[in-house]
Amino acid sequence: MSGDRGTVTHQGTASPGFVDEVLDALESLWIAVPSVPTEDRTLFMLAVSEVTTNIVQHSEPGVRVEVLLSAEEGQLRAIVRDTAPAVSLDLGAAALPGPESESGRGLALTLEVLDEFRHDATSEGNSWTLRRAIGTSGR
Amino acid sequence: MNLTTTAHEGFAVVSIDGRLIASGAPLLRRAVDDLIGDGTSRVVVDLSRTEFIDSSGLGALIGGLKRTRVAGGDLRLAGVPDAVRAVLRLTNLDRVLGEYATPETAFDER
Repeated sequence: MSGDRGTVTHQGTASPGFVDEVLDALESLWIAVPSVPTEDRTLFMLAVSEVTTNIVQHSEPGVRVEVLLSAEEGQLRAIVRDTAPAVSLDLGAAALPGPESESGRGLALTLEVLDEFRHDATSEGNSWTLRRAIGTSGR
Repeated sequence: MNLTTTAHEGFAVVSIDGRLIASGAPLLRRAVDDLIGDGTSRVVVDLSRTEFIDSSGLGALIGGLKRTRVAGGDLRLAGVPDAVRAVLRLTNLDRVLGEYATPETAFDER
């Protein structure tokens, strides 16, 4: 597993179809790193989908987003950079809503499936760092 | 994502092909609303060809569950793949959304 490594990048404009494009790019990464277990693929994809969806849904038209996806040394990583105004977000304050809620699960799920989730305000906008260690399910 | 609705005796089946995420979630909401509007409140969502689901997809399922129940019916899942079940379990929604092996058996025991 640790011998597999690969990197894929995707960039575009924040739009409803952008998330599908990013997930397509992630699918192409799996082809390059076939040994990554299915559960790790699913749960990392979940975090990538939640974070990019959040950016797309809160961005004004014209915001650019760049996503760098990588698998190496037992880690799955995504670095997502956008050109939206820097946001202020409490990443520690997410709890799952009740079962009847139709929204509000994205951040809690993201925190649940990642080993590292960081947001940095940059001179251009925002940078999001996502990392999941491969093969450590049951954390 | 592609969505197909088929009518059966006493229920309808909505099949989701591809990823159930924010881009396709409104289609599922509309399909369930259309069925309820046409008098069908027993709905099976066939996930056997669903590759992936995220919180937006879950929201559409929960929304459909609530609206079918208000209309006197129910929304049940069939053919849940491992990738979808993993996300249902993370959110504890596997306890809320009834899961059946096939669409044909989802409303068997009513």
